[in-house]
Amino acid sequence: MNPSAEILLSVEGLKTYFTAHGRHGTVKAVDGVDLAIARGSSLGLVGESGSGKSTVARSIVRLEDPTEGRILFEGIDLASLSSEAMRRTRRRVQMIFQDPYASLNPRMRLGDIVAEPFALHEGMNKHDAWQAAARLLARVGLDRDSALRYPHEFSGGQRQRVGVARAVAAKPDLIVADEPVSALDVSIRAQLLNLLKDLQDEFHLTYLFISHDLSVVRYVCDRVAIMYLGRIVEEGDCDSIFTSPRHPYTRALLSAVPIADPDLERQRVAQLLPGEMPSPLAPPSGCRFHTRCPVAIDRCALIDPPYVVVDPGHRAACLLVEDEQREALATASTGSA
Amino acid sequence: MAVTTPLEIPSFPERPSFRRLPSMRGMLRGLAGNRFAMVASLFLLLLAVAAIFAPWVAPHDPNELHIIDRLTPPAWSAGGSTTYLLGTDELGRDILSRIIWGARTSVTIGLAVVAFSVVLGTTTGLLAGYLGGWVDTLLMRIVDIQFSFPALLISLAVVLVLGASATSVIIALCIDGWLVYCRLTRGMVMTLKHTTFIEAARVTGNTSRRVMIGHALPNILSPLITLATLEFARVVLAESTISFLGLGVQAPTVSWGLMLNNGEDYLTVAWWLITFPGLALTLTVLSANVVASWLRVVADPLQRAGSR
Amino acid sequence: MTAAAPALSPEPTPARAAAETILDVSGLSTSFETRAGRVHAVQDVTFSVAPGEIVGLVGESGSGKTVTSLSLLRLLPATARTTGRVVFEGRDVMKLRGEQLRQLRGGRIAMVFQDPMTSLDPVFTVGSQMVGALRAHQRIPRAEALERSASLLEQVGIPDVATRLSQYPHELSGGMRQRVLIAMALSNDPGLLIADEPTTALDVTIQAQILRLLKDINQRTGMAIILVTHDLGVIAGLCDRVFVMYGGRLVESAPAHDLFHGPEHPYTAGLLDSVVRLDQDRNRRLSVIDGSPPVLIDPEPCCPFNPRCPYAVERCREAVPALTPRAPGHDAACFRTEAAHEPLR
Repeated sequence: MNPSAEILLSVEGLKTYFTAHGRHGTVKAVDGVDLAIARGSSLGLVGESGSGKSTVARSIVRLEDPTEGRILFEGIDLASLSSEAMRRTRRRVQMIFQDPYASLNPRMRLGDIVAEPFALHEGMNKHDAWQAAARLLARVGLDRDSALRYPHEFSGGQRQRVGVARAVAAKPDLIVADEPVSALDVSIRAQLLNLLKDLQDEFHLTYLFISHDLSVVRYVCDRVAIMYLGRIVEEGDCDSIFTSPRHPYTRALLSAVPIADPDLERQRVAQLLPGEMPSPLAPPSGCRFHTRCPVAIDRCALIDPPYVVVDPGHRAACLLVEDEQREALATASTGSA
Repeated sequence: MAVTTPLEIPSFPERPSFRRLPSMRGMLRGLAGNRFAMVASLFLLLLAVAAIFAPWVAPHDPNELHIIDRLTPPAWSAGGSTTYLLGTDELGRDILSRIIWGARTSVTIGLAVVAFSVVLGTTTGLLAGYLGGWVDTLLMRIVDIQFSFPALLISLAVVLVLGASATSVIIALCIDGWLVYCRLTRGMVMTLKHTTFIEAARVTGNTSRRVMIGHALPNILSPLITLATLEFARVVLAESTISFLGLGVQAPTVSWGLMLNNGEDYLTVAWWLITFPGLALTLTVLSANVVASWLRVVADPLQRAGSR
Repeated sequence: MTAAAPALSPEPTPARAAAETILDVSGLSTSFETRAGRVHAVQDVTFSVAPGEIVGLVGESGSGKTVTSLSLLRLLPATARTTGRVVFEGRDVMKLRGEQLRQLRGGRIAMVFQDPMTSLDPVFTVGSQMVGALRAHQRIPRAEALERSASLLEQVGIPDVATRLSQYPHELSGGMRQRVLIAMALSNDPGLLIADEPTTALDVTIQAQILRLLKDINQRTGMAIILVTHDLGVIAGLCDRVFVMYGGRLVESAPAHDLFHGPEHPYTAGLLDSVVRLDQDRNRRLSVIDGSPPVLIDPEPCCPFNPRCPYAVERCREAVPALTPRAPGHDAACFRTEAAHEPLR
């Protein structure tokens, strides 16, 4: 990460816990997350179900209230704002939701849905807001008369474009995209991803891109953070992470992603992780991943690994990586022996 | 759209000012397909016409006495006459005119109670459902307590205290009337609160009030309208009961309930005194129920059309 | 209305011995009556599956792949009308009567669906559902059925079998439930498994486990698999042959390698280009297929991909192309690539 880049969003020590209804205990959905996003860049947050990535996204936009930690956005701590103060800040932090069939009010015309941010945040009157909305809908690739129609008249891909238009309307600084293409067909996905990239350039947007799909994150984002059971286990720029992943979970994840090439697939040996992700109600002791880790040693069950800086801007939380680093430094300092 | 020159920025189709119109057209088309619902709606329409235009539609003054013609049977029976199509009662008052004026009473009281109940019930339900917390607890305790008192007894108590009149009937029925709307609205809002588009409305930057009224409310209108239709029938019936007991509307105001009361004594000699008001009541309640069932069916496909 | 040339089966050799295929589908068409009109979800689909083969049926939503898979076992609602022949182990499924059909389903042909959350009955334990599946086809006492269920669960890699049998579906994770469903599918020794998006709802590491499991079962028992999915990566990793569907029709059928490296249909080529791959150049802009899939009510008698096809010619608008052989085992339904052999990728 360019050290002189302005940090738009900085999350420090974020913890979001839920009380498990029925059973006793706390669901530690997010259990200590730090991240930073530079203005104009995109950070991908990758993880499987139960990793806490969606909760991080929802905590940042205050759809969930963080239990602990700070969410610094242009100097303001979003976590500590009252709901009214948060509401006034909303213009600058917007969200794109996952399910295109549930994220649009079925009783509102597309034009009204997209006109709302214009009216709320730019103080436009109804007529101007409507025209601005219609223009934006055309910009995201919908027909000229689509503003008049209702969501049920459109396909998933088209509805998702409306969601994007709504998020972009008030020209926010940060957009949190929660799995924006996961529910779409493959060929529609490409259209949406290209649109998101174009809009980022056009409106100088910053993205926090949540996804379970590594291939998508690699295409859209500059940097990626991988989450497991409430924590970030590895983070770095996309080139480093995808060419030299250091954390065992990242490696397993990458090897499990199917590639659309039968010859490559035949050569690859998928590193299968045993079992499933443990429940966030009772995370394992020490390193959370040790119960499934193919290279875990005894210490891993006892010590919660700290972050190790592997390269500038690339960190991983793993005791074995720490050992490797120490050895590498020792070899380097003893000279060319 | 008109042809534009390259220098002109084309404008987009304007927003129509009436939101509801498209869905209404669809509903009317649906109505044509269902004969029961159509007949029932026509009957209710007839009722409304009778209620509004009673002074012009009724052949006679409902309280005008024609003692000479007392207990005339309906026009098609032996001894009947076309002057009094449905016959006359024991004081020679025209039954048909009394039914028409009775419609006015029923509709007025019905609409008044329903209007008040909908407004109060929906508002409290919205607040309780959306805000939750102590607001919800407080409101629901009030609702629970009120629900536990038998409705009719409360109504009667109110009427006894305020004296029998149309106004006190309205007040009595309003006291309990709002509860069902509150519960229904609250339930639906609580479900809606967790839908993605409501969350999106919050993230867009709407105040809680705007989310409740602008985003949540339009989605719960259909079940509310269905409920209101059913409740209208219930209120009409309740008013008739209270008036039948002599504790409601008083003469010279006409009510079907009062007519039933009168006619009771003459059941064996003049069946038409009680039959026609009873029929009017039955048909009103039946029509309202049929229309409500049809509304419930019609509301779903409009929503289901939006799903995959 | 189809083109003049009759549709050929994927193998160019005219005569095939019965033992060479376990499933032969010819001219399968399914349509539904809906309020908006008659939806022709599947039109004239012809393909076959050899014993022990894993074939992929790939397409996006609206392609007709799921309706095809449901049609094979006649699992569609009464509003559906299916025509054509589906010959399984010598018998035409379309002609089977009630009891025979019931025996086939869950017997020699098993099916696994996408959502393990809703495929299992929430009010019965795993054990009782597995026992039910076994005893629906075999006359064995409960105790024996329970033993066999336990052994099946072990075969699909479920640990701690005794506990699992007495648990309810909601107590198991998604991956676990899918394994149970696969175990149930295996319980009556099927010759063919139809798996409709079996891993779409699962995490990628769990997906890898399940796909490996399917491959193991295929190698161990010789059970053929029809894998219905939209995920080209999954297809690439598991399937021997692939059938591509678009707009209710089969547009290409080929061995996996040939399909991915030398597609003969513009839709396949476009699809392959628009897939986001882990190994692609990050700076290359994703190519896109403009437009949306067709609505299948009153389809025009033309190529279904015509409105979106960058290679469309006049003829594409006039007739439906039939599947014609391009190479051994490789058929495609496209007028343009039939004539000129310019590589599409």
